[in-house]
Amino acid sequence: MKSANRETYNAIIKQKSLYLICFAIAVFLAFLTDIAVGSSSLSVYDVFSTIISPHLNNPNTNIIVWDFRLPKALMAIIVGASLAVAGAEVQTILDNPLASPYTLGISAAAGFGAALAVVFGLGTIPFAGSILVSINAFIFSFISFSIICLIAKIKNASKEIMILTGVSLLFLFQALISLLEYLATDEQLQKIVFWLFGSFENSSWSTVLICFVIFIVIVPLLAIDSWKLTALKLGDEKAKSLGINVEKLRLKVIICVTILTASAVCFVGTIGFVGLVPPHIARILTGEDQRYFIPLSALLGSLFLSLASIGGKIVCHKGVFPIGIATSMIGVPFFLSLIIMKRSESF
Amino acid sequence: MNTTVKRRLFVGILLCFLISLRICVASAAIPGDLNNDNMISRAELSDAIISYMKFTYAGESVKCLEKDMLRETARKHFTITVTDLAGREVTVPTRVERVVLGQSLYIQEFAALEGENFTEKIVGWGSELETYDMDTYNEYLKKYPEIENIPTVGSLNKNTFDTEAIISLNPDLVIMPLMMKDIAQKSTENLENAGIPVLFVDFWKDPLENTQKSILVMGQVLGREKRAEDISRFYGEQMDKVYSVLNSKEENDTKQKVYVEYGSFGPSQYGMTFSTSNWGPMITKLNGINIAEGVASMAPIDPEYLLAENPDIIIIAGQYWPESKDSMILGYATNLTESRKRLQGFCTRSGWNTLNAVKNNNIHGIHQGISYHIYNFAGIQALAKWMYPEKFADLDPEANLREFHERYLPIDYNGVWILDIGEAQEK
Repeated sequence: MKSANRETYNAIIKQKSLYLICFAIAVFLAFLTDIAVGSSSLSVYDVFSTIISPHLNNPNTNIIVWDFRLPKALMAIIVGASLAVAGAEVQTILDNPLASPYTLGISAAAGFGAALAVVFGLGTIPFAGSILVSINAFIFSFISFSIICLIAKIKNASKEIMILTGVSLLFLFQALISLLEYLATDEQLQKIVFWLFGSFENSSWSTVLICFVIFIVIVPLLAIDSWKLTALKLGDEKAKSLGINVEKLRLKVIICVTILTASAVCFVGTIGFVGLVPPHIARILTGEDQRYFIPLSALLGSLFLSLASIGGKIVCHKGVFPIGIATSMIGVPFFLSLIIMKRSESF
Repeated sequence: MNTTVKRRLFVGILLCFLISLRICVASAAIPGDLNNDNMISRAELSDAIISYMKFTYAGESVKCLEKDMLRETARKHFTITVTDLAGREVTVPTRVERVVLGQSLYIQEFAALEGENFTEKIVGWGSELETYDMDTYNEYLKKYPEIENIPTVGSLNKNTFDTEAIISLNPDLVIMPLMMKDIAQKSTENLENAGIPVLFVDFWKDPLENTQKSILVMGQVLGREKRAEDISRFYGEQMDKVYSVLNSKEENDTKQKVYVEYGSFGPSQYGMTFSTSNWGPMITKLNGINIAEGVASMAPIDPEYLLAENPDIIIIAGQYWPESKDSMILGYATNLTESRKRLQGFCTRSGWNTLNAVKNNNIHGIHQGISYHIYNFAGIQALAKWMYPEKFADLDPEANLREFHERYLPIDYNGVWILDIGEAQEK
């Protein structure tokens, strides 16, 4: 009997690992395609030979591949993974399928911070120059998060309070963004709108590095608690009876999620969809087991943003297609079809 | 009859003749001709009629007959009908005294028509000038401090246009941009229901076709036909300087690839480019290739696409954006050194050193306002000169823009409007 259970368990684990491997390959392929596709008519051979030996090709190809395509493609991978993991964890700790960094108002706060920097040129840190917008976005997502934590702390970190606080902050920051759009001049308005659309245009190797380092530091912090987080899905009471400090865990996760979201959003703008849907798909495929749920969410997030980036380049090959639009347009139909086909209880 | 009597009679007749001659000379001035140009303009005619009405109908008790009421009567009875740029028939009073500029950027056109005392007629305007074109606003403010007190009526661009405020200003006429016709539809209806005529003009949507028509129709309704015709003629001559050369060429040149960017973000971020508006149609008109054609309007170009296309000419459209320290500053409030430094900043963008335009120093700056004002001839001249340097060697767009300022605008030409990056090296 015991060995039969063991076998079933092994079979499930094997299946879940298979999902991970499949999607890892899919992400890698999407990444390669993302680099290969672009508005200039470089051949695939040119692109990859430039990556392997940068100095053989002409400087123009070099710049296109190394300065434009690679940072953007890497940014899509890292930002997608960060946002999806953030979304997955928010859904877990709040036990709410609608929750995502977006619904907690973190993205909107980042947007407000960015818009504030654009309109008044004044941030919370003076003289930061051109990275002011990103820094301000980061700081304001933290302010939003602090408010949520403070109120949650007063009210014993219950999930309902957190969601309600988050949603009300979302509306507050959206109103503030509208106010700034109203006050802005035409060119400031443009800048705000572009920022809110989301774009990889401002990616550089340094932004890739920052996001990557943050991702690499934060995800293991979440991964250590994967069993606790899995247990949390049983409900607060049961998790407590298993010896988990639910309030502390929730606050810790929220901090991690905020850092992940803020670092990603502050460079690429608000991309609402990525925090919401990939975790759901991951859950359909692997269930609540955090050991697989976290990495699969990350892979799906990366895959979606890479596909969106490719799609955007194909649709609009001369200009820059806003990534936020592409993400939702590619992801939502896919997600809806999943919902229709799989009558899962996962929600 | 003796000789003495005859002589006296002769002197008398001579005197009578001289006196009547004198009277004739004195009365040669036409009644009501206030500026003595021997012509009765519509404004002078309606002045004469109003004063006649005052005398005839109000008699001695002129005081109890309000001037406003007379104006109201005149407005109802003395009107002209023109066709505006939206193709609508608009009936306006012959004597337009109170005008609301639906977009205050029209200050240049309005001042060009009305001359030195143009502010007297503006009773309200949109908020665009102060927010979008600050250096022009400041330049006018120096000479006309009263423009600060012109009531603003919101802005069509921001959907804050306040029809009620306009009606309370009791204007004779509201001048609106054709570009905003759809947005302003409800406002237009409301204004017309309140008896206030709305005139659509266009310097933006199709500047190459509509600029002369717009200035002429504005001249008509403002009672400044002669001035408008003069400006329109000047404009036509300036455009001919380009068209005559272009039309006379025998064989096709190799087409120049041009990239124009709105330099509001500075070098760090690609600003929007122009596919179908502003500079886009001008480039096409001049037989060049606008590499941004096909990019969504108001969207930036893909930097990679730009490098692949390798344009021959790069033009950064500038303006006065004080909040952005590396934006392409141009206009009244800058100098050559500063503007050129900013323009050079754009060349430091990743990959630009490989572009033909940058290698050949074929990178230029031009004031964005030139594309949507009555002086857009300077824009097409500058483009022509940059695209065909040999053919237009003698053409000096900047001098022509300066001449326009001197001839028609109440403020002086200064600052930098059209900029070459290569001049520094040549000198």
